[in-house]
Amino acid sequence: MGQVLMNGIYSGVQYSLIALGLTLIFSLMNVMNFAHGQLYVLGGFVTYYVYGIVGLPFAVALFAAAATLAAVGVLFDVLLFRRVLARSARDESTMLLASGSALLLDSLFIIFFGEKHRGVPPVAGGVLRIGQGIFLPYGRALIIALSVILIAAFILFMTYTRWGRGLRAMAQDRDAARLMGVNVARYSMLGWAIAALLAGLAGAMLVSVSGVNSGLGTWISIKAFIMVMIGGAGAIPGAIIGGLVLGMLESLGAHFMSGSQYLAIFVALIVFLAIRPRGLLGRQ
Amino acid sequence: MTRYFETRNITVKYDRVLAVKSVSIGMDEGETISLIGSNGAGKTSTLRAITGLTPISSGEIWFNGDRIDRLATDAIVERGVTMVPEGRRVFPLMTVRDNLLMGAFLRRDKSKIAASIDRVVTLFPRLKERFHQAAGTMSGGEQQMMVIGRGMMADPKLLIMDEPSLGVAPKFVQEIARAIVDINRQGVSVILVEQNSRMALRVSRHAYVMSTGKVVVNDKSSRLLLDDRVQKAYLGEISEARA
Repeated sequence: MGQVLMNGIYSGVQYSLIALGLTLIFSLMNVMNFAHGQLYVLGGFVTYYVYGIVGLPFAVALFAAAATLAAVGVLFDVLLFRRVLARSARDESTMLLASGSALLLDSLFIIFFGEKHRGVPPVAGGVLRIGQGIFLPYGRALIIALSVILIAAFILFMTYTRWGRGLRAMAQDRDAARLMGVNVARYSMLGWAIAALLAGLAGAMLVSVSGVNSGLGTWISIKAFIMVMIGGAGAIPGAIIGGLVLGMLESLGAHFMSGSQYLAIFVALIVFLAIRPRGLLGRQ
Repeated sequence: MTRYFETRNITVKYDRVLAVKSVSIGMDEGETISLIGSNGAGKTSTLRAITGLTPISSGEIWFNGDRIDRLATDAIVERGVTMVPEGRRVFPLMTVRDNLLMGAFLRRDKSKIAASIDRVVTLFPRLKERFHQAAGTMSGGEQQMMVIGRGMMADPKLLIMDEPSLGVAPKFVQEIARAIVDINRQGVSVILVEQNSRMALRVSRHAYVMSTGKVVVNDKSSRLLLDDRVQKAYLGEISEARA
């Protein structure tokens, strides 16, 4: 059982990273980014090439993935979402745009990266043994530690820096933020960069354990939406809790009802949302 | 020759509807003027145009020697024009402290920002008790004081206040009126927009009365305060009932 919980934490902290980016874009732009999972996949492929093929250190690969994805996030804003939002305030417009972007990225991945599932050599050998019968490979321990550090850094950034304050103000009242002097165009770019970077780093780390393939994106997006629905859209603590809950449910499900755990999770989600449509911590 | 602040025949359109029709208002440095008129007269649209939140379709806006009507809102704020928006518009999940710091978003000098915070809590001592509380949990009057304080945090040259007395308990209206006079005495020019015309006319030197998107009367506040015809014709029952 301890092992099941440990696996749950391992998935959960990474899921939290993914959900944070999704909820950030939702609260800043009111955009449902269906292409969020594809950003994760791209982070995985950057690591695959930089660390797996070229053979540079894993840390370098992480930086490369972060930088690439931050740039892609900015491009998403400047080339796509900003233009559509300037012309249409309807939610459907950005939803369609996000879905289209997801399909576009999926196709580009197939063209450039192929269909094969790609893995990289383990980052750290050896296994950490905790108490009776709980095993934690060093590679996974490293991912847990990095994820927790990233989540903490994100929260500190949002709470205590001027940029973070500007982003929070923009999420709570866009016009009022403009009246305070927040350059909302620049802060939208910043928000997209951070959101994409978090998704990309999650993908970059996970590739060292479970690998990556071109078709993963949609599945990751669906999971990210489940987490945000559990935790509550637009709430940072909600995204973290949603990620941990989903990680734990998956791990428990795989142990007790292997093969049909996702059926159980979806049924449970429907029942949960019927009772509490705003999620655990969501705003109205 | 341009005045310290002026709009020259500005027009604002939403889709095809004209909300502001060729409005020209102006003021000298250090003055308080008021813009009054009933609901839907175009006051808020005029202010949104001045602060760059809504683009104008014709006309010009000048402040302190510069033309500002093509600038983005943050560039206008940087030049010293700050607006306290209608309906309070606090950042509800942020503490009072963080809300006030947002007011100083474009300022970098920490010691001067701290001095501004001191000035705000001196003016509104109540805010000190609420300093670390989420702004959304305060009463309407307290929130209104906070957003006026947040406006002061920008250290503006021109402070625009949109309906500061709207939905605020009468005892707070007095306190807010006093604060406006106080802010003006510290050298800040003030544009006050109000449905509560009596309060606005008492506080300001000059007033513009708007109706259906146009300035219909433009006179000394003290004269308008005594003019029954203006009160009846353009300001309607609301000001009677609320004054």
